[in-house]
Amino acid sequence: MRKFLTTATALALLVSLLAGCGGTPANSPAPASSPSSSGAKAADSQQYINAVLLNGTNSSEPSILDVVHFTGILDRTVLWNILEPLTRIQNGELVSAGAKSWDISTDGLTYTFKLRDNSWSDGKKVTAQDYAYAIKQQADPANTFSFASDYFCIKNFQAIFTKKEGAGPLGVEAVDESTLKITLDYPNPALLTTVDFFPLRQDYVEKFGTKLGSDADKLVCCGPFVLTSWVHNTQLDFVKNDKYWDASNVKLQKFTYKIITDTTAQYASLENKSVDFVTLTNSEYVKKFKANTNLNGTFIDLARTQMVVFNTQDALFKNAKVRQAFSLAIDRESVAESLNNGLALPAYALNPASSSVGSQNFRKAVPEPLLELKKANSDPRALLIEGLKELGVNSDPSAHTVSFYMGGTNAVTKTQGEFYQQMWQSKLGVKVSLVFNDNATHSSYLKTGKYQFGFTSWGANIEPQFLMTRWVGGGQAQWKNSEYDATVQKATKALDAKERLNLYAQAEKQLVATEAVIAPVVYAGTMLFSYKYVQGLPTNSFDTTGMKTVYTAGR
Amino acid sequence: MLKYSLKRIGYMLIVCFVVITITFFLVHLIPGDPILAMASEVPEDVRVVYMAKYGFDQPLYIQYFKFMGQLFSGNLGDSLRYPGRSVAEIIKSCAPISAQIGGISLAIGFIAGVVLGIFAAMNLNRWQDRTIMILSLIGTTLPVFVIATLVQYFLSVFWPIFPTTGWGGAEYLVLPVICMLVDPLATYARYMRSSVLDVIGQDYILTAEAKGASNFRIITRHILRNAFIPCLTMLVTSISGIVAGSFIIETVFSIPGLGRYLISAINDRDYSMVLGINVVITSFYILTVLLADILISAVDPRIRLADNKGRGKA
Repeated sequence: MRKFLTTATALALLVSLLAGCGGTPANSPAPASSPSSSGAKAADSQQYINAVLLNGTNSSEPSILDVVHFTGILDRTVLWNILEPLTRIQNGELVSAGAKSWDISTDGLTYTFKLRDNSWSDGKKVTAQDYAYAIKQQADPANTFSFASDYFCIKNFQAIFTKKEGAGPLGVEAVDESTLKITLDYPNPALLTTVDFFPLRQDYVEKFGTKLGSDADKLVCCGPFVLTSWVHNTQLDFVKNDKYWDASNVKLQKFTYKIITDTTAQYASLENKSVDFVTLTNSEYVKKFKANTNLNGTFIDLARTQMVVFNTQDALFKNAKVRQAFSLAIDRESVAESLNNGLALPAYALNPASSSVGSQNFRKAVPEPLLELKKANSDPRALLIEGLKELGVNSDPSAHTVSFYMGGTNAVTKTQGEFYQQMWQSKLGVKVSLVFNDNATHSSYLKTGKYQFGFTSWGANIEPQFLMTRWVGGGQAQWKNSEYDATVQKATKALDAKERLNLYAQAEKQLVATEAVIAPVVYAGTMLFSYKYVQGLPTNSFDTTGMKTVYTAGR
Repeated sequence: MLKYSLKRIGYMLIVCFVVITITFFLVHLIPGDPILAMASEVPEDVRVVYMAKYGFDQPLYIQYFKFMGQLFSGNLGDSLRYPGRSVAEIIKSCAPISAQIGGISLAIGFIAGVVLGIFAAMNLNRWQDRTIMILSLIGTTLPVFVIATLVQYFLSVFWPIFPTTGWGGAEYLVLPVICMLVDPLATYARYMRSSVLDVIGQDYILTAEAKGASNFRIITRHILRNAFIPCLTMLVTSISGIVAGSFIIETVFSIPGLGRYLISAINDRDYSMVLGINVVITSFYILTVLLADILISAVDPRIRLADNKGRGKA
């Protein structure tokens, strides 16, 4: 009997402890996709596409296809195809979609949307009430909407969501069937480039309850495509939605998103044309696919910054000079080249090249602040010693051991960790020990400040708002700085683009150079390989058009 | 017999209870929580609302009693990672798929392995034996992800005969089954060989030979019958593992089985899912072993008696 007990207990232990390897937490705008090659071939008569459902290079099962319960970027990627948001982002620009036009009051507090004539796949008209109902459901705390904080600027949204007593009515109103009015508590110029305002059918919510969107037969569509089947963890099949307002511009008759989590299986699928395109960073396969004349290769900027974050409450890293020294000791060029196979660009700032403020590209207007710091300090070790002296501790770097925390337990993460360890040990003379944890544990340590310094990455939105607000109130760096908080908060509400740009530039400089709370390392990128017959793939990481623009010519 | 069976069922329930309790506290003790695993950028306001909704803001022992109460009413709860899907639903749709692949590969692997094992033992130290033993050694030592990647490449890319990934008709079964039968095939071949060799050395085989029994009769009536028993015992353990599926095979071939959830649920901190799967796998495992024990004891009274004696002494 005891044997059974031990066997069964061992089984339970094994299952619980087998925390495997994982990818990076996902939050960047969708994966991107490909090149419109110049070939002037006519579109094929049979229009279909097989693709891997991807976020960057990670594929996984969507959690749920419901606009109030979805949790991640992969869910959003599917929703873009089956629902029609008020606006979309195409080639990095805001374009009209479910709304044919919109009007923003001069104080930036009232948005009035005029809707298009669009229909649900069951023939009913898409109304302003459907869009208003979605926001009301998202504000309901019982629904625990994961992206709620992006909507906090909407009048009383935050108060309702956090169950504040005496919260007023939500600032959303369907004026008539085709007019939607949204009122804000404070201006938010990044609102439309941050959130998707999807519609939601009240009768479907009442019919399916929490099961809405958990299977292909438990949802209704109003986007370019209709979901016809969903084999969980395997694939999703779509057909063109003939009732869609812009159906004449949708060329694809059907497409399939395959869920292939194993990267080698993704590459095998591309090789035998089981899928028509895929993104990858594996150097061996990049080389192999570049040599394949049937494939187009395009570099995609993922708009994601990988960085080292310092715990500013730590006995050593509470000193700005110590942090600067560790930041400057990173050889960003060799990280980009050796660790990322040249598929990443050295980052001397937080906001990636594709960020914009209003219509102005942010990076073109604001030079990367770390470059200047680097020029002024050629010897990071001397800077470290200065910092140690300020702290009043032993000023010999070799007397100090610091722990570098990484998320992931696979071989790739270990190699990366050792690379960083070598860099700091040789340039600064400190001892660096490495701590590896699975992603959920790592995120929890970073969030709660149970670490010294660690590796993390954040995906950007078009406006710097998202990345910059991560550090307001401390964030993973546990950094309390009222000046930074005030600057960023002022920027997020500044309607004047020029003022906003200056405020973000000022805050970014403080964050990565003067205070060096984080050390941006590289801007992540990936290669997109597609067969030459694939046309119209979006290549901008911010795009929310899904497969709407994709078609084939000369398959 | 009845007393023996009841006693075993009683033990089984205790084991289940202990395993579930340990698992419950273990999963809750791992740092991190479901919402952090899902999206690390979720701000505190949203997190607080989320944790309150699922009762994660309450002390662990209260959560434990709530969970056990739910379990006794036959409810495994809802998945946290996949809102709108209940754990029972997921297990009900995924376990048969894992069992199908596992069952077919185990059946083929077991039968072929046993036949090869006998064949090798009958040709002891000849080239047939050596070849089978070397191949089976490779089979048992080659990691399954290597086998899977090789099989996938050669039979879906190099010779595009079978689909690379996916699930549907019989053609999707072939590659995963090939990968999964390597291990039982190799294991049973080695096991059966040594079992047969063991029996050949027994006195009663010599007796049978001395009595002038034919070779065929000796092999079928005396050697195989006796050599087969240890393999059957091992088969019970193998069967009990098939519902759990294989994480690696199911990942490589994108199969909607239970094996993928087993690992991903832990990474996702999907507490109810980890517990639900554990409850089902533990119960199935114990049930299989229990059934085998009761059946064997019905056939072989010595086991029942030995068990009683052992208790008397202790």
